[in-house]
Amino acid sequence: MRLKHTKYIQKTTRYSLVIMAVFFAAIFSVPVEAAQLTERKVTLSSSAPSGTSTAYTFNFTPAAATAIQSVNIDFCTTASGACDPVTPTGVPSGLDTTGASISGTPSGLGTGGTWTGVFTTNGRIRITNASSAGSASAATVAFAGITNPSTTNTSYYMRITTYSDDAYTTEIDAGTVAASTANQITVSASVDETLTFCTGTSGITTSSCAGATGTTVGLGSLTPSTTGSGTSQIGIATNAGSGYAVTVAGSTLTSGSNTINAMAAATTSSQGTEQFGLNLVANTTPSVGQAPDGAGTGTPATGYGTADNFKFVTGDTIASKSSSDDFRRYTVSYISNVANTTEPGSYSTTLTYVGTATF
Amino acid sequence: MVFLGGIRNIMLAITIAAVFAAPAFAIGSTNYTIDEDFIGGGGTIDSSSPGYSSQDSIGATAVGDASSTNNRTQSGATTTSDPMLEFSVSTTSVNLGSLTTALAATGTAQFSVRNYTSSGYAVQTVGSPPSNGTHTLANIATASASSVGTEQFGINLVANTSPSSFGSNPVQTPSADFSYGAAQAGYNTANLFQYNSGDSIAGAAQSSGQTDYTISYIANISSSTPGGAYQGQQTLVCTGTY
Repeated sequence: MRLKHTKYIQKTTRYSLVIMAVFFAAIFSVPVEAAQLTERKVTLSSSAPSGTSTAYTFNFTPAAATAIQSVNIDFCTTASGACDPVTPTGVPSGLDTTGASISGTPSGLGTGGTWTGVFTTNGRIRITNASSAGSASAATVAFAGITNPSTTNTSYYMRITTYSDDAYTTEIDAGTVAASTANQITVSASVDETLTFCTGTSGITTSSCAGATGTTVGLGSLTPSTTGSGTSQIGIATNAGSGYAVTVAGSTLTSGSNTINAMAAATTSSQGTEQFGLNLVANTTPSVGQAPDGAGTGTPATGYGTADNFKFVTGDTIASKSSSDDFRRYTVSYISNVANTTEPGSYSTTLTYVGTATF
Repeated sequence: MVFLGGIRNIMLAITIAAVFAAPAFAIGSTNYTIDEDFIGGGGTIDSSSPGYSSQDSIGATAVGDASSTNNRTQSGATTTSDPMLEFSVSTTSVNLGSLTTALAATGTAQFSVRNYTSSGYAVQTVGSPPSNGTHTLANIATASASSVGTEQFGINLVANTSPSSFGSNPVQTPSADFSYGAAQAGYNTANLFQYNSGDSIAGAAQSSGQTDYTISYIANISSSTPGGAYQGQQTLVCTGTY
């Protein structure tokens, strides 16, 4: 009885040991399948559904340092389970990898040789390099020219497998990464077209037309030994993308059938010579006018922007800006000289300034 | 007999404990790793109907994430070894209306992210500010407040009170115990806005449940901002690291 009981105890103990051995063998046996790629991710240049020419950059850290000679990446609708681009089975709808190309030089897979890509099967991108040697480390492999899957806000997966040979046969590591398409957001707004333009003889500030007033500029009594001068103002601002131009139109100073010669080319003031002209800068001879000011950056046109040089040709552009501009104040300086033969009389003219914005 | 019976009971107890008390997270040493395991009474992943969706566990006494310097666990009866990324942008257009030099324009858009078995995720914004074809609204390169009369285009991902009350802070679903997404620097301060194409605007440093984000947009123009219809395409790209 005692012997029999001892055998029972030995038998049950052996069973327990066998159970434990089986259990621990199951738990601690070394797996024969590929190890896991770690720190793996894929970065897309765009998540737009059907986005063409999308760049995919894969980063991963191999578990083994074995040099990698080929890499296979399958695009799948699921992270695991059936997926075979050759069949094709489980490939995301709308995806097109057949136009892909290697972007840059793959790194971290090994050293030496040149990597070439195989993109003939949609949903499967492969690279190979029979000369890759040394050790693998944190790797980066980038591709361009991929068309994203067409379904929006939908996840898809890329199953990455590395091989120690260049024939995609001897597997080293594997890992899956996830990506997703997403709606693009269209942000819209409108900006109304604007043009602020005013003239006057005073009241225009460096930022506003609000106080503009006055329509007459008196040049005084002209003699062969004096120069008549006066000023007026122009204010302008626009958000026109192609900017603005200010033109002047009118005749020279006129008294009945008599006129004072306009200055056809930019010229200095010359007493004793018939002259009528204007410019948009500060002058010293005679002392009249001031430089353009305000937040805008428009400038006087050629012929009207040089100190002490004056010109008047009807229809000329006297100031402009080639893009939108903040408020700009121009001071127009007028001068007139007469000769000994200039007919007496009351001379005047009406000048019209036109501000034109090009949107 | 008593001694041998004690050994037997201890061994059986160890075996039972090993079988039924295995943790539901990755275990590893120099020679082995268990990435994910499931041993327990029940559970299912991603059950859903048109009216609901969930990740369920039955019988777990503790669920959620815990971490220390060297380890991070995801506890619960149900886990999966498959990487998972759910990224949804639910807004397709944002109209900021007619811009003026007197008032800031605002708008919002929404997106959500859920990412599993990952070392976190980052959401980048890609795309230029709205353009009328020849002129592009100036982006706010560093986080700044709205300035009426100054050309600006910017976003953030939090609730704001200026230039008006709009936007929302990230919402963690089902709770902050499971979801960890957050707005990133430059985009996480109320009333400060920024926009640089390629910037990371949101992310989580670990596996995270769903986080719902609201993008708040502002636009201002100056008196010289060219007129016209402005439009820009903003693409959000979510990258998970596994």
